[in-house]
Amino acid sequence: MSNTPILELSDITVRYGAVQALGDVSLSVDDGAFVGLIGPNGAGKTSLFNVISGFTKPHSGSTSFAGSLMPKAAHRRARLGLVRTFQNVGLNRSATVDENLLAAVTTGTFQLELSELFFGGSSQQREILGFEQTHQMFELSKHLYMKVSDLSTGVAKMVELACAVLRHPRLLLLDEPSSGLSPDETDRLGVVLRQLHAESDMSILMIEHDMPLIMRSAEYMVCLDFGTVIARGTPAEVRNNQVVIDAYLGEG
Amino acid sequence: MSITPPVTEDLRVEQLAAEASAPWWRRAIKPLLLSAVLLVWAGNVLGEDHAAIGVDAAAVICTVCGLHLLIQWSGQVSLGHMAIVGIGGFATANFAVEQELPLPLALLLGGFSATLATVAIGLPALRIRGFALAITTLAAATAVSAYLFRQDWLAGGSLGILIPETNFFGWDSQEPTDFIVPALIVALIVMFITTKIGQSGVGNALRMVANDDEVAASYGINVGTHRLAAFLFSGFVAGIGGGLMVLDLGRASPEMFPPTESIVFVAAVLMGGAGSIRGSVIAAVALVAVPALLDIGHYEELVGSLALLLAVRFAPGGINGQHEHTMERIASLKAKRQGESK
Repeated sequence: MSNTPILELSDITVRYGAVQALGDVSLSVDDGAFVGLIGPNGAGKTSLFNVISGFTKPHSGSTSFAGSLMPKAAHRRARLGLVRTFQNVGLNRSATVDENLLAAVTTGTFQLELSELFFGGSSQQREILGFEQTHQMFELSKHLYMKVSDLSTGVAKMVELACAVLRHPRLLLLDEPSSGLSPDETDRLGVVLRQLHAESDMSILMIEHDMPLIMRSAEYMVCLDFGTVIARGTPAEVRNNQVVIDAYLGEG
Repeated sequence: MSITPPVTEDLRVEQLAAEASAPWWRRAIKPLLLSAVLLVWAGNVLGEDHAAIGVDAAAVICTVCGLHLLIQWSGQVSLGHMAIVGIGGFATANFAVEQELPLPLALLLGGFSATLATVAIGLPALRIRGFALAITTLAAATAVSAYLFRQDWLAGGSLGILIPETNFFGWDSQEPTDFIVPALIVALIVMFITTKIGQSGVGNALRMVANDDEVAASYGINVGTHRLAAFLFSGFVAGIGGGLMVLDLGRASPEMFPPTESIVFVAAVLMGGAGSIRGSVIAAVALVAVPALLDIGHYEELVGSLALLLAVRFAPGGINGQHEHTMERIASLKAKRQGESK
């Protein structure tokens, strides 16, 4: 692919009243890269995601996607191929897993939404959309007709990831995908994420607290503290960086 | 001993999967047959009084379908839909009398007029939600009733508007035993379209919007457009409902559309419950038919309120919730029997 980064943030500053959440943060994600974003709680990681998604308007700085400035509205950014997950699971909890998967592939533009006005919900549609592979990859077959509110956090997070992947992201933003997962589920998540990254040309930017998971998955890492970038580099470089150890990792 | 729950789960899953995998034409057979039987029965068997109730029910079904989409799917609320129904009614009457348009066309244009009026209520919905939206719709509806329905150009003065024309595609619009057939056809079409919207990506998007604005936007869904579109659709079908009422009575006057009765529509949707429109349609028919058949005079208005209170207390899932519950019970009984026979 080209050398243009898929995502480029320059000098992003966000303030809530007198509090500065982000100060002159610059970050770029190369096309096809897997970038990890770490830092202590309150460092501004999710704020940065909200800026990228278009939920928070930065006081200064610019965000561009594949070489051009991003539109302001969040839904327009999503249509560029910017797909994200949420810390507290961005699914419709009162709907079943199957309904959530369908919603993921049938919404986005009115054109798409209207296109199956007369065939909505049919099995042919599910076949065309490649549901089989998704069910297998994310191990969802058993849970298809269960409500999301009845699922464990681990399964719900897998459903959310499946919904995200079904929307063919060019850049996937993952906000703490392993929070609430058991160690086994976290291992499984790592396998799925690495497989996704290897088999598709999507770029991934992931916020994560689980160091083994992010060290094994990400190719490049950025560490935030108090709203500024304190370190960046390969996982090994960041792990051995004294500033990161002092601010976040601690001795150990 | 405790093998029943997992078996139940499997049976239910199989059932749902079978339902989802049937081709569209096979799924269409049952509703089409039911509709045909209903139409033949209503057109030939019903007497004058019962047919009049049926026409009323058809009108309310139209309104309630739109309100179901608005409340249960898009997660918004309107406490003032009787005003929209009224605008549809008056507009239909005006198109029929002043413009001398054929009645079916007048009805359709009445629906579009109501859609336009809904913009006024729907636009605030882009900014506010929940309690504030509910009160705003109530205020808008009261203003419409107090002002618009007293204007001669719309409401035709103190006597209202009389419609001399009665030819509706060959049916007599002021003869309930005759008009019940086209009225039911209109209601069935509205039910069909609403169901299709609910099953399509539009329905999925509306439920995403109701669920969470930010998640919906991150799916590429334009939240504002969808919220407004839900209002516009509900306005259109409410206008059609008003038009049916007006054509049936042969006149339009303000007292036909008391703003307080908006609550009956909302009650029907709440009693219907989340999910498909089935529950709301059943509730709508019941709320029209029960008071009319019981002939209890002034206590008519009590039926809807009482039914809603009872439903909220004893069946919070509404009619749909009760239905789902019953289906699960049946599946579990079946599973039990299968387990015993082995």
